[in-house]
Amino acid sequence: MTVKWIGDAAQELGLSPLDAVEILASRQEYPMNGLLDEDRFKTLRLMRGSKRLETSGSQPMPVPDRLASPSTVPIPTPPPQAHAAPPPAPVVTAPPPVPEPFAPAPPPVRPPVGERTSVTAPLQTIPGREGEKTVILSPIEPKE
Amino acid sequence: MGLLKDFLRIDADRRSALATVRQEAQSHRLRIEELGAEARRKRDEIGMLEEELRRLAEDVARTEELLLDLEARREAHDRDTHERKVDAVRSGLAHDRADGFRIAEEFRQLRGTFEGERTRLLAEADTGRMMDNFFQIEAFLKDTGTPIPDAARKALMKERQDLMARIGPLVAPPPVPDGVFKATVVYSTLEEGEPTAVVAVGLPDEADVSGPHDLSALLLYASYASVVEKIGPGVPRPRRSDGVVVYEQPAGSRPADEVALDLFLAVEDGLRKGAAAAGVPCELTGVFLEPEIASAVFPRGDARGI
Repeated sequence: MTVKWIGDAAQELGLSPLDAVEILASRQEYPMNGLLDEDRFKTLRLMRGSKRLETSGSQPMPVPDRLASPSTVPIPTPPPQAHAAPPPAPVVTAPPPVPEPFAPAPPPVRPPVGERTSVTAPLQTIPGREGEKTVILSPIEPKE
Repeated sequence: MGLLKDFLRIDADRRSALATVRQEAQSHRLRIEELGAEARRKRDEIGMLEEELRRLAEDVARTEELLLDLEARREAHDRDTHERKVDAVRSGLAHDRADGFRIAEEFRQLRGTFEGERTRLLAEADTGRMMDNFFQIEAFLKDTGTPIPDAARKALMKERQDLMARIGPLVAPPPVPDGVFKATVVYSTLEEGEPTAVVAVGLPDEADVSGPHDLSALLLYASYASVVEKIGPGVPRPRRSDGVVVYEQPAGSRPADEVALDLFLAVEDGLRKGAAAAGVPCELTGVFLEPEIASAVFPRGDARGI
């Protein structure tokens, strides 16, 4: 899993760093060490579009001109057939069974999104029976 | 005989009436003399009172001059106090900037060297083997269920020490500066025009191309993230005023000092969290500024956007 500095991530996505900070912080997902994991980078990339839409303002839909000629050609209705057989009598069928009310499944319980649950959050040390173990942290990728 | 008797009686009456009139005239004359003496006495008293009044008027004039002088001195003292407070705030923030710059430089050098050493070690061929050996020795030494002879333990400790000397940066925590990041976070309200809450902190300038070793950028982003988290998106961006990071927020319908306190708490919390995430010890001091001091130190429009 690669970790990106928020300044590099913002530059890669064409944002200013404070824009990126605001996007993540408004979702309570900003890591205070400024290092973004892949999930947060994806979030930033997804939210970048909405951020730009919000900042660019809404675009009104053009109202069609009613007096203008339609661009489609109307299709004439077919004439009724002279010797056509009368339509069959409607068949009386039993009403379909009433379906049982469907109860949607409850949403899955997820831990609250925040600094503690982030990938870049400090690891919690849980001493086991064999004592503490040292974990190697993946180094930060050097900037290109 | 009767006539003579009448004349004598009339003369006697005249004489007695004359004596009575003389007595009354004498008493009135005495009364006039008493009144004259009293008038002279009163005139003397009036003269003394006028003299006293003149002296009192002179005293009043002198006291008024003293009061005017005191007022002028008070105004000069107020101006001097105002200028000294403004200078103190500016110098305090400038000192924080300089001190923070020193800590940030130390942080950048330490972390840069550390990451370079990690990169160099990871590029070497023996690193993986040495790390495996190191963690096996670690696990073996910490395994309390298996007795280890003293000689073997000593050899393992020496081997562990040798490995630590060679691959230390890969298993050690990142280094942190010896110093403590100290900063004063000032907050106040700007009352000219629209009431606005203002919070300022003397952070050093972030590097042109910031990175994870840029403590200034890390603290700035953390403080802004905390402001967005606590106050909400859409808050005004921080700006630089004479190099000082300044947050401003219009008070709207709320009391400006209450908004200033919320903004201060958010900025302070963000700075603490950012420093803690970088592993840098942090001491922050919050100071409320008088609005006129804040208006002098952080004038509107004197801004450089970040």
